Amino acid sequence: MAGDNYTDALIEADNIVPAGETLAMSVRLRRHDILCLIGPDSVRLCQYLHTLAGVKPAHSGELKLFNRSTTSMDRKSWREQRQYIGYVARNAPILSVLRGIENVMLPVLYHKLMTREEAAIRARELIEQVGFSGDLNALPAYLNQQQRMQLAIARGTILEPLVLFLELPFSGLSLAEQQPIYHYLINSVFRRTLALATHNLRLVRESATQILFISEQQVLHFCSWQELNQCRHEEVVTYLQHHQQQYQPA
Amino acid sequence: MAEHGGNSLNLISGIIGRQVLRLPLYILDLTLFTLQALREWREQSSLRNRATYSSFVSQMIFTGIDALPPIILLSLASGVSITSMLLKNVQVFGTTADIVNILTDVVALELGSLLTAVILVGRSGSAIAIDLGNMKLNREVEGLGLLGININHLLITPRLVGTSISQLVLAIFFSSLSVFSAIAFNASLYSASYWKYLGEIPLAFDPSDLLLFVIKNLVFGLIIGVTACYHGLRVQHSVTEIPQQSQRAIVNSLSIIFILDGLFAVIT
Repeated sequence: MAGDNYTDALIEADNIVPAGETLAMSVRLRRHDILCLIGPDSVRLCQYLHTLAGVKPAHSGELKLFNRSTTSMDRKSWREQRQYIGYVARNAPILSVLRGIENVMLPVLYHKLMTREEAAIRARELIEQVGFSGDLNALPAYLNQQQRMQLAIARGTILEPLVLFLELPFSGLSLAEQQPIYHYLINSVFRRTLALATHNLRLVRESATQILFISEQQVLHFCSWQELNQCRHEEVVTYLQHHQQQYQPA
Repeated sequence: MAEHGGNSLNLISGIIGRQVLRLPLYILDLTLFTLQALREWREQSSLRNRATYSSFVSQMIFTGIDALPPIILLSLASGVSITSMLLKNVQVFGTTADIVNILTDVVALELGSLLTAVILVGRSGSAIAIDLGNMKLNREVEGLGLLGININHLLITPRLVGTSISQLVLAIFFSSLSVFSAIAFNASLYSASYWKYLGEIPLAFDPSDLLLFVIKNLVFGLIIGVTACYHGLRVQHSVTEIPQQSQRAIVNSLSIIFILDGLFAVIT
């Protein structure tokens, strides 16, 4: 499996600039790291996350996934890499024509990693872990935003990716709805590396090992919440003041 | 002034040039899209994949089995109206061989294929285009790509194979029912002697014509699936693109099918 023997960085971005952006980002993601991308503009955060995950080619700079440069990757290799890099996009777009459980089973069935029965058992386990409480046999249209996000996370993790990227996983959810997802993400860290664009400062404060603050004017890298808190950049201070009110410690 | 005239001329010739190139480029694009889908399918034997197989079975149920009621209705209606009238009128001046030839060549091999294709374009082609258009717009297609899933395997090939097989099977069903209903209708209304054609029709088919019928229907089905998938995946940003693309899929597949049907007729 790709990345199984990695003691070094799983993902290494050296001065990568996403298409349509001007500022470069450099980051090294090691095992069990939690990288949080924060900043005032959600769309910009997702752009940077997309590029860091190798979903979209960078305008400039070099990105290495499991020590392999994305520029030398053909389409087939890129597709193979996707099994080891989970990506849960914003608004959790799971397949509308498949029932909830089928959506979660789909990746392992497609990649022929399990039989249908094994896939169903594994899918149920994951669905339970993410705290899903809806109807597993319902189509996504009949589920709420929280349930769709839970299924999308379960689908994104069924392949046991080494790194899991999440675009604003708490977006549009109430604080109560965020809880099961929050706990699942925190508890799953011992198994994988996380990179997420988020405004949930509680998660950033309690779990982030690296923080990237991204705005129109600057990309700032912090190694801890304390370091971020000590930053006196006006944008950072304003952002923290605005969002911290939402996520006071429990 | 002269410069202005020159610019207008350039503009007009540019518009004409683009319009002239549009059709061949569209055909080329469609052909490459089909070849890409079929090549990747062949390389991966994707129907052996459980996820892809389920998608194929769903497509067969939707395009084949669910389409049976309208196919039955239309084949009975065309049998009672067009075929029975044809049968009754040709019998006045034609021999038994002429009547059997008309029933096999015109009704069974021609009308059946075309009317089945028209139903499938209206029913399955439009549905596939809308379905894929919505998936593209909601980023479901992108989500599959992020899981390392080749959308050609999961979404495109099962639809192409499903529409091709369904078109063939439904065309055979349509033709048989249309001919049978016409004979039964005339026999019950005018004379029992019409039943004699029923035994003669199966013997009147030329094997090469039958082979051409099979190929033609597989191609028709492929065109229905390809145009629908191609236009569905062309949806980019707005919901308004979905009806536009599905309408293009319907019109273009019908046009190609009628043109191809003419070409097949020339071959025979």
